[in-house]
Amino acid sequence: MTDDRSTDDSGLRTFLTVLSSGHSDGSLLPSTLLLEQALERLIISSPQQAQELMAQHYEQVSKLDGKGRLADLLGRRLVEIKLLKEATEFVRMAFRLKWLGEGGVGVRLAKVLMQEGNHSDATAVLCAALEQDPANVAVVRGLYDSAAQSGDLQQAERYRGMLVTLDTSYSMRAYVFKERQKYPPPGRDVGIGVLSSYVLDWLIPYLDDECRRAGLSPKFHLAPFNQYMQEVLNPGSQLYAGKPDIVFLALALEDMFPLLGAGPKEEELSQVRSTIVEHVLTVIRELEVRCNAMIVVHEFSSAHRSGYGILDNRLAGGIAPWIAGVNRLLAEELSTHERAYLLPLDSVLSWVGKERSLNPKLSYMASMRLSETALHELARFSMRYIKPLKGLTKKCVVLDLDGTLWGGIVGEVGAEGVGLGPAAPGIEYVEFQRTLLGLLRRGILLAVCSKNNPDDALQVIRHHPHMVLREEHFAAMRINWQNKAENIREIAKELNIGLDSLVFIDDNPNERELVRQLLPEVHTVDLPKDASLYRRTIEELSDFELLALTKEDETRVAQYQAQSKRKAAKSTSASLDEYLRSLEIEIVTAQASREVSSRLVQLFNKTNQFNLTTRRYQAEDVGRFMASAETILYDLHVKDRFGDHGLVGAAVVRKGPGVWHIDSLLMSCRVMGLGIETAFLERICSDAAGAGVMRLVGEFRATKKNHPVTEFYAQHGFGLLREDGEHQEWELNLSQAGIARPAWIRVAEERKSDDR
Amino acid sequence: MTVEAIVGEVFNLDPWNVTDLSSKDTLAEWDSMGHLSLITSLEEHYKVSLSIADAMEMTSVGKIKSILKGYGISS
Repeated sequence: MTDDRSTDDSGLRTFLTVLSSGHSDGSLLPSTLLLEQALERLIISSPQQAQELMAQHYEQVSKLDGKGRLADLLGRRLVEIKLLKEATEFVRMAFRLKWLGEGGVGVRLAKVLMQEGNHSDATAVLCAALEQDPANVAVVRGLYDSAAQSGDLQQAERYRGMLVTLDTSYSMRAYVFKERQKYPPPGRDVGIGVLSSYVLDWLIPYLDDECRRAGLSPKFHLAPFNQYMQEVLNPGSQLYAGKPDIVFLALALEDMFPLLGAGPKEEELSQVRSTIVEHVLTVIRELEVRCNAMIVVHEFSSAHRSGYGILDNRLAGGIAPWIAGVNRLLAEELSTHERAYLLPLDSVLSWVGKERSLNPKLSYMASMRLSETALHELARFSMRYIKPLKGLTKKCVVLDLDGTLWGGIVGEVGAEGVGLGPAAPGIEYVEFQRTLLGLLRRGILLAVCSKNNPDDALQVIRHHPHMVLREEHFAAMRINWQNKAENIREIAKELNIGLDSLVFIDDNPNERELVRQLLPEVHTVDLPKDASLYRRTIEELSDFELLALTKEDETRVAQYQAQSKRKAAKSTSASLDEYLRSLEIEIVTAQASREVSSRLVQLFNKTNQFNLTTRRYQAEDVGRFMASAETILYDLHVKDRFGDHGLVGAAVVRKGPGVWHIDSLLMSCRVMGLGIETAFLERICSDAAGAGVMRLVGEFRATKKNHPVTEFYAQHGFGLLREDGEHQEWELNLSQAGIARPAWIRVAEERKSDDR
Repeated sequence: MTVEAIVGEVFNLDPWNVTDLSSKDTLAEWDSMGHLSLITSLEEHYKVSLSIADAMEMTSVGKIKSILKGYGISS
């Protein structure tokens, strides 16, 4: 081949001849072959000339079947003779024109460029290669090396992420893990301990990757092989020295009971069951005493078939029922330990398949019981514990409508025409909605953000017979033609949650890209094109886990829902008066009792707007007010047609001879503007009058935030008594004036009588 | 993919620097965990299940090649 590189210009001559005559004589096929041959010769003899010609006649070259081979050849030749500038220019062009579909020559060139220290050209070539060959690990590796060498930490991390996504093998995980150790941790720390009866070293790189994707900076402590018990029992062990946030306990049945596979007797099984469970509980108790970590115990799982065959589940000594029994017993025991959870390992392994989960050879050679596939899935599942522990649970799912909650575009096909129904197509959307409803039951809020005519969309939401999610399920709705990022920002504000608590789901990649760019804090989900995969996509997210289901989680949803109903009532009521009446507001005010002290302290300390004096009373003050005969501490409960607001207001009244003094009066801004404050004040007046007191003095102290109540006393007929800077006192003479309770508010009987 | 290329990929080395003589003793990256990773990659690439004895015997590139011959794989 090398002797052809002389001054042979036959290639050039043939090329130009064919080019000038080839089209006119109509014999296209032979002429393209001729062209290819000519070019090949030219590339070998005079690559630079070949480059110029190919660039100049790129349209003709693009028609050649062998363009990819030729481009690859020329690229390699140019690299070989060190014409790097020309090679860079040519290879980029060849990718752009799609002559090259495979990254090989780009990777080769980039390597040489990087050796020369030219990272910007190397990156440009590789980016062009990536466009045509997006799944090429070598291309991404090149991009990573270039970013890392030129110190671009952010890009480097991006490419590390791409590498482990493209290549899920352990060796890639391990490489990326090693590389990451060189760089400063990106996020919040999380200490993770792993205790195991078998070799779980390979789990660490997988878990490290998942943690970093969640924005965490993990620190691991893996107990040495089969020394977990020493680590647990020794108060000075490395495990405890690392102050772990979470400890995983992975014990294999086969390690604790090697004869399991040999058909053990029934009595033996029941004895071993209690030994095993007691052993796990011992470990948990030790961990509970010696550290503050959350404890996650892997349930037991076996991939072996029982020696009894199909009779296994008919026999008292069957293996599968026995393992299920051990796990059930463990689950029961663990449910009484606040910090201990049972990880459903068997279902985690089933998800990827038992057969793929175990690598018998690695297990025999190295006591590594789980395959790479299984470790990857286990790491992903483990995030379901780590995320809520680190406060990364999302609070709200923002949903698009057309193509997301139903098939088709309602504006085009009409409310009856959208894809929703008991059979395909349509059932996939119904199922997706059911899954979302499940999230709602768990306390995760749902919201709508759709570009649509509100009437069209609401028609479906309110009236379509197969719609699962209705208006009452959405805590907020934005159906308009505004930019979605703007809408999402508004939704976050309305629900009073951070953007980083939102998950955005939209079938339109453009909208996703917009939100991803403008609101990077929002977790934008890559929804697959195929709607039958929507449900699984949601189920696979580890962002909605709760460590406990509290009453608040359920009532919080109810409160947001009531709020949205109230708003709906407001928009359908013709007049404000009608609206207020339609709310059926009922208040209860009483002297506060012990049970509500913590809520009162909370109110005193966080109410800013509707707070006349902003005195931040603490628990001991509240206790003092309750005990003293000189003060009355009122609490205010509010209910309406849509729900119970709970305890939302308080007042402190000091009783003097002939005059009562309103020391504090405050109310949650959630119930402002409904006349409730007037009814509350009226109640204080009538109590005073009932006690024969005719003068009522109200204090006002201006703060930066309480301007909504600057005129409060003036509006209720009080006259200014004295003023001293920010401090005012207002007076009402009850023998001359009173306060009228708004007609739409009902005052319920006190919950209990108190004769003080 | 050649054995050299697989070894290069697993241990993050330039395949040009991998020869028949490259072994557990000459490559620092080729430790016991690395060995398992290499075995897994070889099995996956050549679609073969190696016996444990063979897998443990594969301590150099040359040995890997000659053992693979026994599985009908010329590399």
